[in-house]
Amino acid sequence: MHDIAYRGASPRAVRASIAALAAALALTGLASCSASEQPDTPDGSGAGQAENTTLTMTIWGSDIDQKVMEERLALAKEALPDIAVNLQLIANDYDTKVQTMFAGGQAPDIMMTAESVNVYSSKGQLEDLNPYFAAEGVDPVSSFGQGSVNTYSTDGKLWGAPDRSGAAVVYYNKDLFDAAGVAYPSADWDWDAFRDAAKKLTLTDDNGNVSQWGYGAGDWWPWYMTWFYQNGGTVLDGQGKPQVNSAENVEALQFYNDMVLIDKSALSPLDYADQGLDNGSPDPLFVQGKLAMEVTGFWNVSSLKDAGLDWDIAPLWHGKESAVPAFSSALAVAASSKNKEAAAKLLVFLTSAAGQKPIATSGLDVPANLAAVADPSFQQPSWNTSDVDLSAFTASASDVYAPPFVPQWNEIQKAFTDGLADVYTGKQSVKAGLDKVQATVEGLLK
Amino acid sequence: MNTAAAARERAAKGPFEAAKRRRFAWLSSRLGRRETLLFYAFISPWIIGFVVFTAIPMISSAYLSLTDWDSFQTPNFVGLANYVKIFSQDPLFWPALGHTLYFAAISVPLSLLIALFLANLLAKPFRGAKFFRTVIYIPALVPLVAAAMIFRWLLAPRSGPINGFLALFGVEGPAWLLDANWIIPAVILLALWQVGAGTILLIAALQGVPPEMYEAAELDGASRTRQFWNISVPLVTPILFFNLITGMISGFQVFSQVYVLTNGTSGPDNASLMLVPYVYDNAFRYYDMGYASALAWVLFAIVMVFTAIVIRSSNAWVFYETEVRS
Repeated sequence: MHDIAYRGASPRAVRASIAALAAALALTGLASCSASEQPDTPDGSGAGQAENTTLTMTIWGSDIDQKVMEERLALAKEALPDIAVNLQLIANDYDTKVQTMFAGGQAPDIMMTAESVNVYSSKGQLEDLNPYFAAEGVDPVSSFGQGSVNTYSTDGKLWGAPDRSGAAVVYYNKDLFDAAGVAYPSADWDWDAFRDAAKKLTLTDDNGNVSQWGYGAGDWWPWYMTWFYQNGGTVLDGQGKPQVNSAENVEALQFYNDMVLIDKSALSPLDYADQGLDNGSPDPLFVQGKLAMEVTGFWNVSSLKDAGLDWDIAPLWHGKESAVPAFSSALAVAASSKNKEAAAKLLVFLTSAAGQKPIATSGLDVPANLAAVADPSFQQPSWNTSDVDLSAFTASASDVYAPPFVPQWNEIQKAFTDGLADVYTGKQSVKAGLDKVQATVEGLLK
Repeated sequence: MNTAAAARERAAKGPFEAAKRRRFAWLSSRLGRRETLLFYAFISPWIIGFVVFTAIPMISSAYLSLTDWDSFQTPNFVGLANYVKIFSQDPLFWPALGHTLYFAAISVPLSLLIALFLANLLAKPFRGAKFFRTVIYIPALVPLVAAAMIFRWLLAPRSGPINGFLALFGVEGPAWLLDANWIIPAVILLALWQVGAGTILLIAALQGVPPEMYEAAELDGASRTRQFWNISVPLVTPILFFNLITGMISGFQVFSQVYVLTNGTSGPDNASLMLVPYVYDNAFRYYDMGYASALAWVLFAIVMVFTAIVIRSSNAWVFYETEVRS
């Protein structure tokens, strides 16, 4: 075997074919940005044969999300036997794939949506649901509360039926609290009480390195924005003007950053990096028992259930004001749907107390429907064997603030990530960082 | 003979005569036709694939780059506005281009050198050669997300083995992923780790070098180093050339390595922003498909120019055995 590659082919032909290959490689790279991808359609996801109307519905999540939605659709089938649903679970890259479906004229009739709701609504892609709720005699505000309705409304139009909604709560490790002799977190805590507790819960090893932290947060809007809102600040004011570098916001973020850089009671980006983690991944450390407190949503209840820790949840502390982020999702109807009426009817059922019950009984999430939350199926579910205090999710429901889910929401988050990167590491002052974010956001919204 | 006259002649000879001629022509070129048909039959999967998945998307993206398409509403034609914005108003385009050139200029030649070095070691028969060849190729099989997780640990500022190694020499290692000056070198490290695929090609090429050439050189007293530079390297230049072209193109299109190492932030503060992630962000996070298309075309032009330069230069340094140099 003494052949070298290309023996026998003329150099010219070889060069030409390499050039062609080069071009093809370059092109496929570009094309992959525009090629449409089919969402993964799990087998047997259809909720039965079509009789009159078949609707397509896209949801994100995992198998459990799909199972719960199938349960709910089975209930819907009893109430609305003429409507069949082809349920598509899109486990990865949901936003990109749904965007591609819309771009390709293959929009689903019903889509699960959350933070990007106004990307779609501002581009005329969603149907106002208020008339449909009115036609069914359902009042959205009394069903879901003003906060949820506000989150999914602009200019008096309701772009999504609130479906899942839970306030952020404090997850805390009881053992670490007991060992440090600190009282468990509560809604009565103010910032100083929180900071003090975090300090007491922070331990250093013999080399002076922190081995246990009081609090873990990082680059995620429910963490940094909540400091602003609790301090009377905001991101966009009533007129939609950015107020990122206001005195309230600077003071608020300084408070958190002092915990990171001075007290060292909250994880710094360097601390996370030492654990091989991104700035803002407290979950693994909480599970390892190295972190006393973290703030996140309902989903950690199920992931911590079998972690072998003694933990519980509590409502969030307060600052000058009470402000709590919430993690919600809604179901929206595409404006291009040929079966808007049927789709909206289905949503009214799915977001009713009866339609939301499987969310509670399965322990999947907090239902958005207030009657479903008040129901014993949520408050005392059979899966809650470790007596987790589920009332924490509802206790602060009235303090939920609506983050600025404007069409430029992704760019705004990126502006915070970029502008604050050097703040958390102490290379730049809080004021300079927020000034930079303010300038970027002004540019985005002008 | 003009066509009208030919038509008249055919008409005069009648349909029977014409049919006979056609039949004869078909018989004479039956083999040729068969070959032509087979050619198209065999190439059709590629042609169809090219048209559907490359040509049509390319043409559409060229058109979209002249519009303000947000991927939902009807696109409005805006002329060259997107291109003007790229070159004169976008504060991130030039940094992104600079970072991409930096990454490609370091990672591509380094990968080639390392691959050549490793291939030269592994091409020779020795005990355990197969084992080491497998080991070298394993990183190419590890999913990138898993590799990135390993790299986060390797690059950890205070506890990572890389900085631990540097500390042996009294060097205080940087906080790689958090430092604007070190994030791109970190991405380059991750890219270099995956050098196995190029190495395998070079091993095959080196094993293809006729041993009588080495024997002849040895008789003439050429040292091992001399043999490497004057026999091995010239004879594998076609593979080096291939690796250079493909490496350069994928270097310009670097996406996954930065995306997984920086968790999609291109951070800190855009210090590792590369062109393809920027295209992706504009298209799928900021819903500016028209602008993203324009960026993609600018990238395409840049890649084409660099590829053309390298192909042009290949006359000077790529050696083909069948080639006769005057």
